[in-house]
Amino acid sequence: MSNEKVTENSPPTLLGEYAGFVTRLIAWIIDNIIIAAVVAIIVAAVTFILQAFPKAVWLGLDDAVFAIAVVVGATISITVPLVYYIVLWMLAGQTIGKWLMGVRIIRTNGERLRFRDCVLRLIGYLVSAILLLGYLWILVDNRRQGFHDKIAHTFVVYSWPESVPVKPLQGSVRRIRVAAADRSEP
Amino acid sequence: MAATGDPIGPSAEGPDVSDKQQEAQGAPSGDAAPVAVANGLPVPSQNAPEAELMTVQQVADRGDLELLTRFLTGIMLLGGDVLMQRIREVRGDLAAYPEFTAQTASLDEASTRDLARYLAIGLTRRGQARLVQGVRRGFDLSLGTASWAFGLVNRATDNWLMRPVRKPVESRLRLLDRESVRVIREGKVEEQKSRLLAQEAVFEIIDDVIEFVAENPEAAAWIQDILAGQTAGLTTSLRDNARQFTVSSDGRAEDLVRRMLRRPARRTLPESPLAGEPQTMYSPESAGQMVEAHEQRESDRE
Repeated sequence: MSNEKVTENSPPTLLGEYAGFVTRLIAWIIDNIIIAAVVAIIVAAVTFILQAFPKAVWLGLDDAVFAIAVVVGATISITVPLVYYIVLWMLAGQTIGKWLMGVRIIRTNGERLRFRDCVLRLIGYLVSAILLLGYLWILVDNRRQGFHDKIAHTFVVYSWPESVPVKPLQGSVRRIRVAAADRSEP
Repeated sequence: MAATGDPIGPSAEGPDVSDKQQEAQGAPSGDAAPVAVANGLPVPSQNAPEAELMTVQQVADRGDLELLTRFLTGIMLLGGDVLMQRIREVRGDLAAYPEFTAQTASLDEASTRDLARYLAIGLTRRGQARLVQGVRRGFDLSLGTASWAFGLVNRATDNWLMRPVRKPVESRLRLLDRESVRVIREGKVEEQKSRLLAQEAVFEIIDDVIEFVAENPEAAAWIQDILAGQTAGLTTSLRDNARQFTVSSDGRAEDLVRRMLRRPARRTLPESPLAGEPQTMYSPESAGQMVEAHEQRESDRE
């Protein structure tokens, strides 16, 4: 911390600042919902096809079909998240959840992730999952890095400028009502 | 809506709330106990049992629910018709565009992202076609199998030995057939009522909105604002609101944890290497440079 440049005032924009725990947690939840949906659809389709395969039933291979379904399901459950994370991290530095929440992963030197970094980060996910300590570390770390970020030498930063004007619709409706009420008064 | 001969009214298909109220007013049907009426609402007698109170309430609820279901059904039917009609019109207009009628396209300029997107769209299109084809084939197969099975059963049971079994089954089937026809007729009547109800109700609502906008120029300005695209789209607005909420929650969560750990609250973060700078490291040009650097390294190694 002693050698770190510290900004005294709050930054004018969030772009490039370290992303915090809640944003990353919600992005992670969105990603896992997507992955679970994809895995469920693929596993259901494969199971349906295997069960509809008539030879297995005629030959008394029900158990074999079940075993194949389990193996295929397990393989898909592992493969889909791996492909999802590695491909999206390499292509865009962000998954769908991270894109929605406006955060991106970069290397500590500011460059894009390489395949090696992605694999290291995924292994880091497993390490972080031990008692969730690696994830909770984001809350106390100075650069908001989890164990997986430290292992892969990555940062997660905001990729959207906070200065986007947000005009809540509710406020506009309220303004209209107030104006209408003012006018109706004598 | 017409005041007389209301085609949407409850009288067309059995008792509704109003019918029940009429029954309660003095024309009870069956074993229903008479219920007093005040201000158009049924008022149970002092010694009315709990079950009777429930029945009156349930009947009222069912009437509203049926009306709402009918309205929603009508909205879906009308909306679907209007949408499909509009899409067909647009398709006709688009026939003049070569992009719309093209059968093939060049992939020379496509990036990896583009190719992945094209692949996903192509697979979706093929998957949809195959799914429709499969469903149609499955339906035909089911009909054929059922027809064959019925014929077989018919031939096998058309003799004096099976007649005692066949007779009750046939009467049940006739009953089922009559019931099916009745349900289909009810469905047709219901569709007409739903459409009419939705059409009239939507017009009423539109009239109300127009009246409100005419009386409130601020509302008109607000709608124009939205239509002109000066405000962010609703989705973008929601997304940005969610992002802002999570950004503020990030700091609050850290403060909470720091308090729990008895550490002083963090007022600032160390500066990020990319603070405030555009993130161009994931642009296609950057990817191209990365590939070139990799190839250079490979050639150097050779």
